[in-house]
Amino acid sequence: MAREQLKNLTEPMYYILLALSEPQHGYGIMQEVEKRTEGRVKIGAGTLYNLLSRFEEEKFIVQLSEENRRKTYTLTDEGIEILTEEYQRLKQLVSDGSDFLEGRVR
Amino acid sequence: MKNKTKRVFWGFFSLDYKAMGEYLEEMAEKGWMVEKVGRYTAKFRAIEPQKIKFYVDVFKEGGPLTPEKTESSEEYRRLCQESGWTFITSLDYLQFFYAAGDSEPVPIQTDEEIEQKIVEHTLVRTELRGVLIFAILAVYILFRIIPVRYTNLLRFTGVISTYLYPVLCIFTAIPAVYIIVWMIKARRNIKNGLSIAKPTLKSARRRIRAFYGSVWIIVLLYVLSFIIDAFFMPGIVVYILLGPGIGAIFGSSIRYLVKKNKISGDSVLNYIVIGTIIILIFIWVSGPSILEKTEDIYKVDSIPEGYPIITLKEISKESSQRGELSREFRRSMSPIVPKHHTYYEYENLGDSSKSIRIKYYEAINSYFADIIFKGITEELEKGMKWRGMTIFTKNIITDDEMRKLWDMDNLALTEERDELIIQKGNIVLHVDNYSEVMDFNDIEIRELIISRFFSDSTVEN
Repeated sequence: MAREQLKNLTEPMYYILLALSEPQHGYGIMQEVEKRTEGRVKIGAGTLYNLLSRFEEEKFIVQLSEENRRKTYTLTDEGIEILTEEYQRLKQLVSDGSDFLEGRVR
Repeated sequence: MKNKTKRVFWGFFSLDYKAMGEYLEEMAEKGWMVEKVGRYTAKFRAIEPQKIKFYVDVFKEGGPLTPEKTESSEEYRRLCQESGWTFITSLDYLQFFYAAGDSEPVPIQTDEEIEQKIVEHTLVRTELRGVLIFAILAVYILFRIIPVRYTNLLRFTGVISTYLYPVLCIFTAIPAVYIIVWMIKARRNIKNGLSIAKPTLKSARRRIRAFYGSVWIIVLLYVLSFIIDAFFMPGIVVYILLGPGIGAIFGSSIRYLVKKNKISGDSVLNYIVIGTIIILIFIWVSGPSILEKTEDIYKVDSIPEGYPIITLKEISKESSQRGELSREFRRSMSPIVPKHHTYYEYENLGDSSKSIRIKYYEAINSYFADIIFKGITEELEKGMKWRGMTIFTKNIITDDEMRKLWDMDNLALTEERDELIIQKGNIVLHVDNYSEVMDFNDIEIRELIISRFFSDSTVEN
């Protein structure tokens, strides 16, 4: 059921998982997302905390270490899988749109 | 200046958490920085007036029974600190942060759907749980006070409970209505892709005034009533306050221990259950002895003026042999029954004894006197509950001929004719005649009672 709810990732969810392709701590994720999206997507600390808890519950991410009460996370195989599924879905959306829209935009 | 602090009333509804930030910003501009927020007051420290940004967030792993500092709350606050928000204090689920006025930190919550779900799982659930407990308690109390019990009309607190408690219930329903409206609006907004409506400080203040203003007036009336009742019947007031008093001290202690991380997890629930059982046993055991200890204060030698009584000496037709005499007098008043007293006289004659008990009620009108009359007769018919048994039940009879002779509006007797209850106008009299010291058919007794107790009765047509 929970997995079902996360079938379509929101933009912040997608970028958080993407940022965790490499081990990161909370604030590192926030910086990475901001950098990757050139400031377009900003994630608040409270929102990030809640999403990390949820991802951990769903076993999409796992805690690697804790230094000075700073937890470091990384993606699990399940996390990679859901991220890949989302990537495929987004790619399909772009592909479907381009067939019709590319010609019009030009 | 540095050490100057002040406490101000904090009456915000928890769902108005977004308006709290606005209020704290207003205070900072006036030169007051928040230090600690409690359930009813907040502590502020004097600072140079300045612009400071505040953010009040809802932390899903907080709560009234969660320590202030936990591993998860530390991690969450650290994350907030790194993103530019400095932690100040917390109140249950609410977390208070600040940032410099000229900084632009990313808001702590950037996903309103997640925020709305957290609020529903924390604040809304806690508030609704509180409202539900209150509603159960309110229904139980309402069943106890409605229909009107005559005993409640004799005390200030009884009258307040009977007539103002339903009003209090309506006012305390305000938060419940607000929570439900908030939840419906928030869900609708999120569904339509809109933001959760941010309450203005003005509307939050209006709610505080509407809720606390009315509740305080009623609470103040309750306090005054307790003080007046305590003057007439200290034992009963101490007994009534015993439970809430010990309960409040126990509840505050548990909360303090939880917040300071002295107890946690399942042990909190165990402490609450065991503590509640001990308190209930203590009240059950100590209650009767408290009431008993205060009995002596009612023993008197003389009766205050203006309180009619009849004595054994007046009604006794036997020899003038007198035994050891004991007299008890207790009185009370209320806005509905301004004069009510009980007089008990007991004479120990060695091998026998004589006694008389009179209960006099002077109500403001015959309507309430009628309630008292019916209440007494019903109470006698019902008897007393004791260890699962009903004892002292009486059969009540009415004697219309006797009523006419006595010139009363209502007259009732126990079948054994050892108790007489009469009402005329606004006055009710209940006479116990267990030791058969008088004959209610005796003309002299009748005239004595009528002239002593009913000369001032107000007869309404």
